Amino acid sequence: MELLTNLVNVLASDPTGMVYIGIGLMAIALAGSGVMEGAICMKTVESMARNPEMYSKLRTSMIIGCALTETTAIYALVIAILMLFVG
Amino acid sequence: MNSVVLDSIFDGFLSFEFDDWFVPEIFSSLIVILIIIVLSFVIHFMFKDSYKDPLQEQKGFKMVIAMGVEKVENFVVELMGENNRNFAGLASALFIYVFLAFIFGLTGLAAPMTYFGVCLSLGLITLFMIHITAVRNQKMKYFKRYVDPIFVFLPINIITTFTPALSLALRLFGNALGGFCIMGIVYFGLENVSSAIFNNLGLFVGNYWANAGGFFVSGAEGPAGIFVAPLVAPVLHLYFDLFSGAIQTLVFVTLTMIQILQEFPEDESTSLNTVSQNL
Repeated sequence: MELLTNLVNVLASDPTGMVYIGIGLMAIALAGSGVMEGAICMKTVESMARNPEMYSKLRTSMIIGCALTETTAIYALVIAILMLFVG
Repeated sequence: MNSVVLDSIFDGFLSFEFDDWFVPEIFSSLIVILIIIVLSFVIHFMFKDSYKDPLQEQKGFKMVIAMGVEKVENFVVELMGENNRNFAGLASALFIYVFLAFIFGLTGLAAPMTYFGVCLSLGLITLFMIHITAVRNQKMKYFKRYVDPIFVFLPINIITTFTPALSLALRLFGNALGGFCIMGIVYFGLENVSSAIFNNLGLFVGNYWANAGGFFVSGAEGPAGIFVAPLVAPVLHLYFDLFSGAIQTLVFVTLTMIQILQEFPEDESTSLNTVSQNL
């Protein structure tokens, strides 16, 4: 408990450190994005193995899906950069 | 913290000074637009004799252009149905501009996509197209969406109106800025590595070389810092500029077309079900 109080005191004395903690916390968003991109790839490979004649169409859909899924991580990146340079 | 930001936004808000309004990213965006205008005039005059006989076979550069136009038209028809073929004009314009603006950073000038205003104006184009299409197709029923369940939801609905533009703009901006930042870090590191290697060889001892380095090296590392980066950076440029640019262009145009398509009446053959099958 005393440690926590000390930590709060330290952070309160220099609040700019909180900004960097927030920037680091933005990396949590990468976890979900990474997991679901892996899921997209897994399902696409499964489908490709089931009917290989759809290979090129599935690849196109996979790339578009990955780019859409990346969006969440990219929002996190934009927020982190805004916090770093603007906030 | 906030007051500094607000001050920097509203400071010089009404003063028309050159430094405030001249943004290098917008200047390179204008260069891209100039390139596209010149290219379209050139292509127009190249194809002038082909307009009388559209079925004749093209060769060389003209064949590439014809194939590109056909690809974009097929893309739009596959996505939106046969009776929306006219949107191929918008799609090809967006394709060319977004892709060229994305890879324009390769020239060494400022990359237009790393300035949020450029991305936001692209998003606003989509937003205007969505609402113009909605007004044309739904007439007075268009205004029903702002009071959708009941009248109380009006402010929320007005805010929701702008989300497509913001989402598209932030997607482009984040991708370009991410690549830009990573390339900046890579160049910084490689410059240090190179100067650590080549400064110890004693090749650049004299004052002349030490001063001349400032002209063609971005950092203050001198001429010894330029030898490693050309070996490593092109592969990363291939991914972060060309590949990422192509994918994001495709995603941008696809999302634009799908969001415009949502405003058409449901009963036609161009419903979202056929889209998700064709995608």
